[in-house]
This record gives sequence, C-alpha cells and structure tokens, in this order.
Amino acid sequence: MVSGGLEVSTPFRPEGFDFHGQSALTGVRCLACGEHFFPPRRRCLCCGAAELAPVALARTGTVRSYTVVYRAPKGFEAPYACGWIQLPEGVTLWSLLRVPPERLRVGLEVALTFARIGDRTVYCFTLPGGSP
Amino acid sequence: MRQVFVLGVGMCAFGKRADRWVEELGAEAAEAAVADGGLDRRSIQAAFCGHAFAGRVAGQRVLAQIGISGIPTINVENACTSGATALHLAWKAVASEECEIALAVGMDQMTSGLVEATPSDYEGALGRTLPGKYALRARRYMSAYDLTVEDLADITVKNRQLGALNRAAHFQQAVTREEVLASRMIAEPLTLFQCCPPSDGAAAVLVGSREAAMAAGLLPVHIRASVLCSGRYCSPREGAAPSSDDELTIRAGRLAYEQAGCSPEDIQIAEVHDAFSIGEALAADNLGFCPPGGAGRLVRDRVTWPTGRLPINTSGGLLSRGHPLGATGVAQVVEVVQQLRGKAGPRQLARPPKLGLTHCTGGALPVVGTGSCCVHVLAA
Repeated sequence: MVSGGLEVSTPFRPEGFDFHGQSALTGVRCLACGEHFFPPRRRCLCCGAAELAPVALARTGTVRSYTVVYRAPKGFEAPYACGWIQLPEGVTLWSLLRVPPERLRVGLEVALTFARIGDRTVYCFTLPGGSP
Repeated sequence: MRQVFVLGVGMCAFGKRADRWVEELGAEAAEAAVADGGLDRRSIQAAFCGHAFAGRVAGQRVLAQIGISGIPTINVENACTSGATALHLAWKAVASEECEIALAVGMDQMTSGLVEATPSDYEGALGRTLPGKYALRARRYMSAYDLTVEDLADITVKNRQLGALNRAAHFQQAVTREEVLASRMIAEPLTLFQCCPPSDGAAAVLVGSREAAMAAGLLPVHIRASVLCSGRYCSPREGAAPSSDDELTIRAGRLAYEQAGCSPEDIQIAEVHDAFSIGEALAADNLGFCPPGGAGRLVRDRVTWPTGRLPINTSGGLLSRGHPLGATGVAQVVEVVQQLRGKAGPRQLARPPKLGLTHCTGGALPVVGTGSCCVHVLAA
C-alpha cells in the first residue's frame, strides 16, 4: 500500500525495517476514529474500520519504561538498552535505546534515529540533539 | 451450566527430562490423575491437551500411552496458558453437559534459553525478550509505586524456599536475597534467579459432574470459576487506564470473582504467573490482593508467605517448579487442589484453605500486549 509517498507494509515483515532515506517512522491513522498505530495494520484495533491512512509519526517521544538486556536473543549483542517509547499521537512502541545507561529514566525525552544491526537498518531512540 | 468438580490431579517431576518423549511425561501425569481419582479410565469421554511445542496430535499420543483411544481429543495452543486453556475447555465440556468426565493435560519439553518471538513480531525483531518485557513492566511499577529490587528478590527467596519442599519442582534449593541479587543480570532489574527455568514437565486434571464425583466417592473440589480472556487493545484515549498487559489480568480476575460469587479478600491461597519475580507482584496487584501499588508491602509484610493471610505460589511457583509452557496452568491447579484437600505434604498450609485461585498469562504480542489469561477459582 502506497499513499502520500509513505510506503506501508501490513502486516509487519522483517524487511519492513528498511528505512532507506526515511526521516520518520510510518504509522497509520484510523480515518473513522482517529486512533494511531505502529506498525501499520490493516484494520483499526479500536473501532475495526478498514480505512487507515499512512502518517509520518512524531520524531520525539518519552521513555515509558526501559531496561538493559544482558541475555540477548539471536542476532543481538548484549548488553543493549531498550524500552517503550510513548509518542504524542498516543502510540507506544518498542525501541532500542542509544542512551547512556546512567541517563535512562522513566519520562526521559528521546528522539528518533536509525542504526545498523547486522545487515538491517533499524530505528532506535536517542537523546535529542545528537548521539551521545 | 452445571457445576464441575475436580476428580483427580497428577503431575510428573518437572526439570530436565530429555530421556523421555513429551507424551511419556504427559502419560505419567495423566496416569497419576486417573489413579488419584480412582476412576475407570474408560469413563473419560473427552480430552484436551495444552502445549506449545509438543507437535501434532500430542493429546492422542498421550492417550495412546495410557490405554485410551477413540475419544474426542482437542489439542490447544495458547503459549503459557495452553494448559489452563485446556482445563477451561474440559470444564466447559462438563459444564455444558457435553460429557460427564473430561481430562485436561498440559505438557511441554523446552529447549534451553529464551523462548523466541514469532518472526512476524516487530518487537522481537528489535530485541524484545520475555525477561526484557517483564523488566519494562517492573521498572514502570517501581517508578510509580513502592516496590524495590529487594522486594523482587524476596519473591524468589520465598518461592525457592517453597520449591525446596516440592519434590516435583525443578529447583529444590533455597536461596538468599544476596544470592538472588548477585546472580547474573538478565534484563535490569531482573537477575537470573528471578527468571523461571525452561523445564520439561506435564500435569493433568480430571474434571466431572457432581454425579461423577459422588460415584467416585471423592472429597470434591468444586471449580467455582473458569475464565479465559484474551488481551484487549487499550486506547491511550482511555486516559490513565491500566496497560493492556495489566488490564487483561484485572478483567479475567473480576470475571472469575463474579462467576465464583466471591471477592479477592475471600481467596486463601493462590498460584499466580511468576515467570519472573515481578510477575507475581503484578498478578497480586491486578487480582486485587492489595490496594493498587501495594505489591511491595504484600511481600514485605509477609502476607504472601505460607504463614501469611494469603500464601502465594506454595508450590514454589514457576520460579522453582519450572515452566514447561503447556504444563504450568494445570500444575497450578494441581497445587491448589492438593492444598484444599489438605494433602500438600510438607508444603501443606497449617490451616487448610477453603478457597483458592490460579492465574496464568501467556504470549507477548505487540499493541495488544498479552495473548491470553486464565483464572480458576477452586473451593474445598
């Protein structure tokens, strides 16, 4: 599904993390009830409507919670920080965090950036105003 | 719906059981349940087998080991609630008068290490592990309420102490708070000893009508409530509502109390989903065992210890008994039934409880939070 220059793949596929040249994450907004979702989905989980429009999500949010993972799953190198990021649209998303562990706290303001993990480009959040 | 009773319970020893096929573990548990009920196995009219990794027609493979074939058999997958879901279906089959006696078996054989996310799960693709997710829930609870890393460690201390009294538990050694906190960090603030082990094991429960219970001449345990819920998307527009993960247990608990005609204060023993130490604290709070945010006090005041008002996880919980995904929900019921009967051996509570609850949740999924939750209320 392509709309307004934003490409949306539903449901999520690993290659969906292919953020070539993107500066924002693409979510969807329900045209019926206004709810936002990330990743994009076929139908609204709030009202069930099928009319969802791709939207560029806010590039800054706050840390809802965080952890530093020491037991990594396949393809990841421990330790790494990650957490739930709350965006102004109401979306909470899972993200890696490029933030010094001692700076991590609930409510911390963070900004979107992209990073390479193996051969994938993934999004992550970092302190606003550049990488630490 | 008619009333449903527990006719027999059984389980095999949990732990590393690589020398057995998973259906042999299931058969061991089912055989024990049949023996416990003193029933003629030919009276079992339907079987439900909960598992996440046991392969195709796992239930039929179990039954074939114990001399049963031909009865309707349904295999159930619901991640960590697979077994509890199987029991819920067995309960429903009897409650709806579809049959007189039904068998629920839960079992799994686990590979070591982390349970992997499904490939379509974007959170998994970004490094979400289950301890990682529980760590986020822990951090959030600790930032909002009075719950310390020591409290979390003490949940493990309690459950390992109880596991040491359970010959079917994977871990049967007590540990100190210092040892818990000094064990390897898995996902801050959760250390290794605050994570359940991936165990092999099986548990089984036979349920039946009042007539079937009377015919067997049993000390009946009544299933006062059997509730299965799935995670519900909670909109941020609902305001300061609980997260989807918390809402699921809150909702399942309320439905169970309503069905059982009781309140959280009436519960005298509970087995809850302590896949990680924080899981027990969250479950206790969400099930209404303390005022909102009071889970730390519950541990500190020793309310949930065997000598307290509401002992939790007297079996040792998932932290000690181990967590073969499909077996857990059924093993929890085995423990509560034994306690209600006053036959829990060295773990028996001094004053045998009259009303008990079991709770488990299963499956992490983005946006919706947790896949499923089962709550059972059992009465002596």
